[in-house]
Order: sequence, then structure tokens, then C-alpha cells
Amino acid sequence: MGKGRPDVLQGTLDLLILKTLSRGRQHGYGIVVHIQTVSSEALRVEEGSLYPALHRMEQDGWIRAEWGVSGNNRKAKYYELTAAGRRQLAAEEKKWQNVTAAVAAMLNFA
Amino acid sequence: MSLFRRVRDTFRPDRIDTEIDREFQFHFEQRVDDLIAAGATPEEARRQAARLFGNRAHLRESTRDRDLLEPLRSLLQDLRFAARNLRRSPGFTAVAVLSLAFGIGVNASIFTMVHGILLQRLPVPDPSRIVQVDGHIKSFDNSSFSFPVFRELARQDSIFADLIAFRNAPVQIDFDGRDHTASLEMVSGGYFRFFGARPALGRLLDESDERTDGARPVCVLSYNAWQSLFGGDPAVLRRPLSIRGIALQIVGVAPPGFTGAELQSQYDLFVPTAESNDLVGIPRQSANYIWLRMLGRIPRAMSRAEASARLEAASQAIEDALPKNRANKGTTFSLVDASKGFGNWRTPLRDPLVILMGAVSLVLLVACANLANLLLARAAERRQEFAIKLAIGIGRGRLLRQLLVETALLAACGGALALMLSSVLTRLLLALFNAGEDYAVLNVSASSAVLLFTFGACVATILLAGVYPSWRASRMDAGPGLKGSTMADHGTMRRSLILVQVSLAVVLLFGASLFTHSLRNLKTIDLGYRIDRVLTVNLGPKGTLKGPRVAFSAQVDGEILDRARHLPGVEAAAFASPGILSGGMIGASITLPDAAGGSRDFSGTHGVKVSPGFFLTLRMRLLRGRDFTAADGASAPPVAIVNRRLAALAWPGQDALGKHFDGWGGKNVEVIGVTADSRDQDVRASVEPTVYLPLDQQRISGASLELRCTAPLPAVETAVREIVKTAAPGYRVSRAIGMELLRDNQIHQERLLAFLSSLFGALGTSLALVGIYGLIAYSVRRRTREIGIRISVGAQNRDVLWLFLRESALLLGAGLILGLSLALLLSRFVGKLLFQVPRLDAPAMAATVALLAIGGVAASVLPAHAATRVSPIEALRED
Repeated sequence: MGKGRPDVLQGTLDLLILKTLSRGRQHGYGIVVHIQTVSSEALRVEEGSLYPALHRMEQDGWIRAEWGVSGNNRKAKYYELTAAGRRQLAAEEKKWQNVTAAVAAMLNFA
Repeated sequence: MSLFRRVRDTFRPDRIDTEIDREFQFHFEQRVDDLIAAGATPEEARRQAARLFGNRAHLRESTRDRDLLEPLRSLLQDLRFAARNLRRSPGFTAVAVLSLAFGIGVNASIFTMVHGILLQRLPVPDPSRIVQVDGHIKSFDNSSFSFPVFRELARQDSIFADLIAFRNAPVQIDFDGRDHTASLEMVSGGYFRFFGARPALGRLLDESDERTDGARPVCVLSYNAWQSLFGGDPAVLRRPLSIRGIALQIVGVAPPGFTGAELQSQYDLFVPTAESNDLVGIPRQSANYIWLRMLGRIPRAMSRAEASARLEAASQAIEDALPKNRANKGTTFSLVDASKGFGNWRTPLRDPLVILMGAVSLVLLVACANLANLLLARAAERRQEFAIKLAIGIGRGRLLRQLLVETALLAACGGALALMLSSVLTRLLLALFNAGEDYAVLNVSASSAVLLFTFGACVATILLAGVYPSWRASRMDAGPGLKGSTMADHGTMRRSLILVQVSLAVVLLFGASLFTHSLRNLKTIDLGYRIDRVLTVNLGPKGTLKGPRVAFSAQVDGEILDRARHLPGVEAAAFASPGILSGGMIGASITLPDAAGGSRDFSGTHGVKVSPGFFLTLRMRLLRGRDFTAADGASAPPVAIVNRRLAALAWPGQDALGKHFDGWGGKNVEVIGVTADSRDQDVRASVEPTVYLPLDQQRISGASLELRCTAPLPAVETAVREIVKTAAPGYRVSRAIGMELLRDNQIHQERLLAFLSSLFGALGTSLALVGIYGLIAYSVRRRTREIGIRISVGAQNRDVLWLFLRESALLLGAGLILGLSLALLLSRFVGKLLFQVPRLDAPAMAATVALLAIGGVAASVLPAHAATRVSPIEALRED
């Protein structure tokens, strides 16, 4: 478990992975690095939750996996979004926005 | 992930582990590279990367679980969801499950019969090598032979790798002071070895039991007999058992499920053919007794055609080796396929079974259409639910799967119920098939093939009924569905399905009407005599096989007849041999003197030997002349009565009365009477030229006492048995049966077909009517608002009713036309099973139309009536 850095919020992992993959296919390590970089190290995805999540989403048909060759010529498993995954992403994004808007409203009200 | 990979992975978890490891390894190495690039030493980098990964084995396991359990979990989720959904609409579920249960259930039952009778093969390695020996003599075929023939054929070892002989007979067995009718199979020595049987207890019969006639009175019990007669007693080998006073030693028990030469028969005990003389009175060494059936196994390298040709070529040599004094001289032997066991009795059952299988397939189709229709209606009503699901991002694929799982659950429930239903129905079918005495006792049971068939029927149902509605639902446009105002009705599709149902129901009804009409024809055909209230008692000499037989004597006959006639409740009585409708037949030629002083032969007359009063008893009409009297005895001049057909053929254009002929054991027999034509033996046959002869002038070894009764038949039967016991101790009653029952046994197949086709017709029609009911009920619900408006602007009940009745009337009409056309096309396949029914049978058509019209109107008026009670105010307030 990473210490000092906030772990990904419960339930948002799917959203982060889907969002990352919406830019194009990526392997597991690439997803970790991307989330970490884009969030300026604020969000960190644990390997321990990433891989079960990826494999679950694959079974749900949101993403599909394929073996490919990485930039430095290593064999890597790449994931990409399916049509269902794209729909799921839209739904999750919307849900997230609703939640943050609601939380913001609460904060402003107080 | 492809379905293939998913299935493969489920069975090969190690392969998944390797893949996951490779994925992790890549991650790890990449991390190490990055850390080194950031300035760490390789050692530090590896340590840190490993730390970040945590417990790799644990992670591998939880990742793998996602791969393996996720599909299962979502399937379980779908199943739970489906179950909840189905529970929530019990009406829909009940109708769907019941129509499937009935549709699949009747199919499973008929398939059980088809499989057991037509498809199942002998449980031996390579059953295609099993053949049955047939013999042809001039124009008739025979598949029974004498023991000497079997012995000669068994020597043909270039044709037969193995040859067995056997014959079944019912016998009385005595054990523990009880007696019991049992099925006795007399078998040659190699019988059990032929089928590769091993004993369940003791030993089985072999060649050593066969060598000397009557030397080894031993028997083997069937497993069933061991269980049912001896309670599975392990010490059964020491228990006494005898047949007609001959003690038999029980040497063993056959294995459970041992079927012998006929898959559908049941045997109680097996004895060597060497005991035939003592047990059933057949001298084995005699070439005059034609009794044994044979099965052979041809060599691996030889085709059946070749083996048969060789045997045919060897026929003459085989004949030459037989005793000079023998029956069935000039036989040509040949081989036919017996991979399904011995017997030609299967052939006449094939057509009825195929037709019944066709009928139940139609029932299943109607049931499928019902299910499809229900699913379409349900999908239309759940449109809003689907739209919401699609809108929140559930994939169309997942939605389709949910719906298919729901259909599969319905089919599984229906299938399970169908299996229960079919076990009951199969027992009923067997009872029906076995009710006719002329049939082999059928012993057919459900097998794994039947289970497989039922499963296949369920899958076919899902494909036929479930896929289209589910696919349609999953393709819907989420937009309008969400608003909830528009309900898609799949109107055309649903109406087409109803049309299919009605048409198939019409085919079933028409078929049932044809068979019913055919049965009625057989039951009402003018036989030339009256069979109601007639009891037939068959009398024969007592079967003391080793002692001298008691001859039938005129005095004893006379006394029986006299006492029977005076019984209370007996109107008239007479003897006949062969008994009327008994199926027996005696034929002979007669010689007629012609005008030129010469003579000509008239062949093919049927003879019935009768006592005086016979024509009166059976209400046969004597057209000319007189009946026999007591004066026409053995010493009186020979006389005969002929029927009109013989009179017309033998003496065309002349009066037969007073004419003479030679034949039937007499010279210059005078014709003293002419009767109206009658069908004395086979109700289906045409009228045969028949000679009736006085019993007292003929030698017979048995006869039927025909009694016309006013009292109930069982009471008369008891009285007659008493008379026989006291007046004729040398006689025994072999059977007493009502003549109507004799007739029914003859038309057993027709009764079966009429009953079953009516049952399936009723079932198919009920399913179609449920479909119509559903369609109209749904239509009424959907148009509530419109009805409200119509009523509020002054529409009468009648107008509202008509709104819906018109729809069903159109469907029924179209279905009738379509169905009748189809039925007429199909009717040529049943033509040869019908008795005096034309293919374009008007009564059958009328019955079909009437039944369907009544049912159809009832099924549509009930739901349409609800429409007339729509309250306009409430209807307009809806939505």
C-alpha cells in the first residue's frame, strides 16, 4: 500500500482506466504511469487493484486485450476499449460529474 | 475474449496463470527500467519494483479469479435476475412453462417409443453383423424352423460365425405351492454367449445343457423374475421350480437388463431347447415341428448380402441333409438385418409411430410459437425497462444474454416438468400398446437417448422461440422507449405466429378426425352378424402333454351346448370352429361337377364348422334353405351351407340350393342353405367365399362356444366354466372373451392412433387457443384508451366486441384455409392406415372446422368481453 499518497477513490478506478484507454490502447504499466503523470502524482493506482480490475472489465466486455510488442521490444498485453466500454465510460463520467457537482453544492452551501 | 478462449480457459487454469505471469513480468521489467533511468542502482530498482508489486502469488490468484469467476458470476447474476423476473409474472411463467412441458413431454414419450422400437440396436459389439434367418417356400415367408434345420444351418460355418435358436412360449410355472404364468424362452446352447452375457448368479446355459434331449432339466432365471418371483433370494439356486410336473433345477440368474433376442420382450426363465418335449410338447428332433427362430452373426469380412447369397445357394444342400419326412419342404433360406433384434413385428408399427412422431413435433412447434408470442408480448411490455438499461450503459449483448438466459430458464423448467410428464405418459402409452393381445409385450424404457432428445428439444425451443424476440428487444431504440408512451406491438410478427399455430392445430385436428372416422368405420362396418352381447369361450382338450389327448366328442359337445342354452341370461348358444373373429382360418378347395359330366376345382374356400343354431346365435341371415339340425350327424348324408359370395362364384346365375360338391372331407356334399355375406375373421378383409359345415360331420380338436347373452358376460362366463368342469373334465377353457373385445383387439392399432391423434390434436389446439386468447387480451389492454373513446362517443358492446372478434375471425379463417391445404397435402402419408376414408374426407373437414370455430370464438370472446367493461373515464385518464 502506498503511504503518503492518496489511493484511488473507491469506485473511480474503472473510470480512470476507461478514461486512460479512451486515448488509445495501452498496457497495464502504461495505465499506471499515465494516471500518475496526468494527476501530477496525486492519484496512484496499485498493481494489486489494477490487474484484477482489468481482467474483470475484460470479462464484462468493456475492454479487450491483445498481446503486442512494446516500444523497447518487450511482449506486453495491451488493452483497448470496446463499444460497450465507451458507453460505460460515458455513463461513469456522467455519474462522477453528478457526484462532484452534488458534493460541491454541499460544500458551497455550508 | 472469444467464447472459444473462455471455454478453453475454464478448463485450463494453468494456461491463464502463465499469461498473467508474463503480463506481470513485463510490468515489473518496465518499472525496473524506469527506476534505473531515474538513477537507482539495478539492485535497488528491482527491490523497489518488487515491493510495489506486493505479494505476486496472491495478486496472480485474485487476477485469475476475475478471469474464471467473472463469467460465472455474471451468469449467476443473470439467472437470479431471470428467476426474479419470472416469479414476478407468475401467469406468464405458468403458461410458458406448461406449454413447453406439454410440448416437450409428449415428444419425449413418443420418442421413447420410437427409440425403443425403431432405433435401438442390440447391445452387442458390432450389431450390424447380427442377422435373422428367413425362409421362403413358394409364395410364403416364414421365420420359424424345425430343430433339424437349425442343426444343419449351424454347420454352415463359412456363413455364420455364430448361430442361435430360440422360441418363446407362455407357461404355468409352479413354485412354493403357487402357480404363475411366465414367459419361457427355450434357447440353444450358445444363446447367452452370443449376447456376451455374464451371470448375475450361478451359471448361464451352454452347449453341455443341449446335447441330449430331456437329460438336463435346468433353467436360468431372468434378473426380473429373480427379483419379482423370488424376492432376489441369494439362495434361489436351491429353490424348487416346476413346469407341468417337470422339476427344473435353477442353475443361475441372467444379468440385469439382459434383453435377449428381442429388445422389447420380457422373459422370466430360459431353458435349453433339449427340454422342449417335456415342457411344451414339441419333440425337438422332429423335422415336422416348425418353431425355432434364429439369429446369426456373420463373419467380419463378409457383407450381409454376400452371406445371404451364399446361404441361398446352399439351400438345396441343406434341404438334402434333412430327414425325408419334414414340413416346409423346398425352403430357400436368406438373411435379413437383425441389428435391432429378431422380429418383423416392428414393421407394422413403423408408420403409426412415424406419424405420431410427426404429430407431436407439430404440437411442439405450436408450443414454441406460443412461447415466442408470449416473449414478444412481454418484451413489448418491458420496453421501458430495456430502454433504461440501455441508457445506463448495459451493453446490447448483455441485454440479449439476459433475455436468452430468461428463455433458457423457462425451457429448463419446462424440460424438467416435461420429463416427469413423459414418464407418466410413457407408462400410459405402453399400457395402450400392450392392451391388444396380438402385440408383443412391449418393454420400452426411457434411456440416456431420451434425456438427450429432451435436452435437444429444449435447446431447439430456445433457438426457435427465444432468439428472435430477445434479439428484437436488444436492438430497440432507447430514445422513444424511455418516454414510455409508445408500446411496440410486433403486431405482424405476433399475428403470423398465431396463424402458424392455428394452421398446425388444423393439421392435427384434421389428422385426428381422419383416424377417428376410420375407427368409426371399422366399428360400425356391417360384419354380417351382431357382436354385441356375445361371449366367446374357447375350449380345447386338456394339455396333458405326456398322456393321451381327450378327443372332442359329439356327446360331450351336445351336453355342454344343451346346458349352456338353458343358463339364465343366455339367449342362444352354438359352437364354431374356428371361432368367429378369432383370427383362425381353414382353407380348402372344393370340386364341382360340371354339366358335361366332368368336374372343375374351385380353390380358396374358407370353412367354418358349426353346430345347429349358429346362424341364429350370431344373427347371421339365412337367405335360402335351412339351418343344420341334430339330424345332420356323422351318419347322415353330408350337407353344407354356403355364403352368397361362394354361391355366386361357384354357381353363377344358378340357384346354389340343392347343388353338390366334393371337399371338406365329404363326397357329394349337398348345399342345403345360402347365407348372407359376412366377414367371419378379419373385420378389414373382404368377404371370403365360405362353406359352413355341421360340426357333427367334422373332426375338430377344439372349438369356440359362442353365447348370446342377456346377463352380464362375466356372470355367464363363470357359469360356463362350471359346466365345462362338470360335463367335460377332459376339456379346458383356454380363453373367455367378449366378441366386442375380440373385434377391438383386431383394430387395436386404429384405436391407438385415433386416441393418440385426438389427444395430440386437443393439446395442439388448446395451445393455439391460448395463443389467440393471449393476443386478444393483449390487444384489449393496449387499446384501452381507444375503447374508452369509442364507448364515450356511443359505441355499443357489440361494436367493441366485434372490434376484437374480427381480428381473431380473420386469423382463424386464414389459419383454417392454410391448415386444411397443408393437411390435405400431408394426408397422403396416412392414407394406407385409414379404413374406407377418402383423403378429401368431408366429415373430417367439417369436424375440424367446427371444433376450431367453437374453440376460437370462445378463446377470443372471453378477453374481448373485458373490453366492453372498460370505463371510458378511467381509460381516458390513463397515461
